[in-house]
Amino acid sequence: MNVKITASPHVRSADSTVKIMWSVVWSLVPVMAASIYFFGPSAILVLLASSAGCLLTERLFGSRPGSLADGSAIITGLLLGLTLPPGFPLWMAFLGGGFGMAFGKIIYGGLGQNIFNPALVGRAFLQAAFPVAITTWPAKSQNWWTLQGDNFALPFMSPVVDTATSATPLGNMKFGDDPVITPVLDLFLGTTGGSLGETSALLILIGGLYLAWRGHLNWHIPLSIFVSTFVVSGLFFALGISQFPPLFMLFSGGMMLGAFYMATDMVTSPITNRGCWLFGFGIGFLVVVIRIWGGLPEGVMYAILLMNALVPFINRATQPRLFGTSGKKKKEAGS
Amino acid sequence: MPCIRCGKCLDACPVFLNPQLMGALAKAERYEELESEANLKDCMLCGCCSFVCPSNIPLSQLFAMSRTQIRRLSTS
Repeated sequence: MNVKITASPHVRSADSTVKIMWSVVWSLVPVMAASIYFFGPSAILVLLASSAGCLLTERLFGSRPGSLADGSAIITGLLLGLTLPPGFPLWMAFLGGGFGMAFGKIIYGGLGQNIFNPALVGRAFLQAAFPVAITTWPAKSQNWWTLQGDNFALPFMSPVVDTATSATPLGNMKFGDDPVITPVLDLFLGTTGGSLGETSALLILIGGLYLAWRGHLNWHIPLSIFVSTFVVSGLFFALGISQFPPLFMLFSGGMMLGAFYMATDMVTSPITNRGCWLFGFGIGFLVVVIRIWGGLPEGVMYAILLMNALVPFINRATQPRLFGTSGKKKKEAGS
Repeated sequence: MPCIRCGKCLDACPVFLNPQLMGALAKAERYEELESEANLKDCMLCGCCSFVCPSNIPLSQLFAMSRTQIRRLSTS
C-alpha cells in the first residue's frame, strides 16, 4: 500500500482552475450563438480564426506540456474574436490571436504570470496595425448566408469593402452628423451594428450572472464598473458636458463584454475585494473619459489595459488587514 | 497548475493573511520577507487556503515547511 505522508488538509474542494476556465467557455456559448444569429457565417469564421491563432501559439510556445487542455488559450481566442467586427479579414484575426497570446501571455511565463489581458493585447495590436479594418462594420445583409465584408482578404492587401458600412451606436453618437441615440432596448437585445460579441447585452448579462453565481468571477468588478460608469457619465450628462446618457453608456459598445469577461480575468485583476472596487471604479471613469474626450468612439479596451497596469500597485495598497491589528501598528506587531 | 490569483485563499483565510503572496514567497524561499512582510508567524496552519485553492497549490504545507526551514536557519 502506497501512503503519501503530507501535512493537512487531506481533502480538497472540487473546484479546479481547469473547471473554472471551461465554465467560462460554456458561458460564452449563448453569446457566440447570438453573434452567429446576427452576423451569419462570418461570425463563425472570425471566431475560428482568432481561436486558431491563440491555440497554435500556445501549442508552439506554451511553457507547460498539455497547457492547451486548461482552456485558457481558447478563452483568449473566443474573447478576442468577440471584440472584432464581423467582416474582419481572417488572416488579421489569426495574427491578432497569435500576437495576443505570444506577447500578452507567453512572454511573461504563461498562465498566471501575465500583466495584461491577452485578448485585449491582441485587440490593441490589431487596432494599431489595422485601424481601418477594425472600425469597418458592414451593414447587415438580408441573406443570412452572405459573408459580411471581406473575410477572405489576402495578407498585406488592403481589404475591399464593397458592401455598405453601418455605424455602431457609439460611432453614430460621436461622429454622426446629427448624433442619434440608439434606443436602450435595441442595445439590450442586440439588434444594432457592432462587433461580434458587443451587440447583445442581455446574453452577456446572463453568462456573467451564471459565472458570478458559480463564484467563477468576482462580482465586485462588474458591479463597480457599472456603478462608476453610471455615476460619472450621469454627472457629465447632467452638467451638459457630454451628450451620452448614462444608460446608453452602460449598454453600448464593449461595456458588457469588457466588464463581465475582460476585466474579471482573475490573473489581471486585483486579488482583494477592496482592490477590485478600486479597479472597477478606475475602469468606469476611464471609459467615460475616453468615450467623451478620446479620439476613438470606444474606450473599454484601453481603460481595462490601463487599469491592468495598475493592478500590482492596487494589490500592494489593499493588502488585507491582519486579524487583531489596527493596521497602523503592523510593523511593531510583527517584530 | 500555476496560481491564477483568483483570491479564493484570501477570502478563506480566517486571520486575513494573504496566502497568495505567502505561497509565492515560500516557493521562492524568501523567508525574511515571508516573516516581515507577509506575517507568516500569524498563520495557524488551519489549511483553509489549501482546501479552496483551485490550482491545488499546497499552500499550508508550504507554510509549515517554511517555518521548519526558518527555525533551522535561526538555530544553526
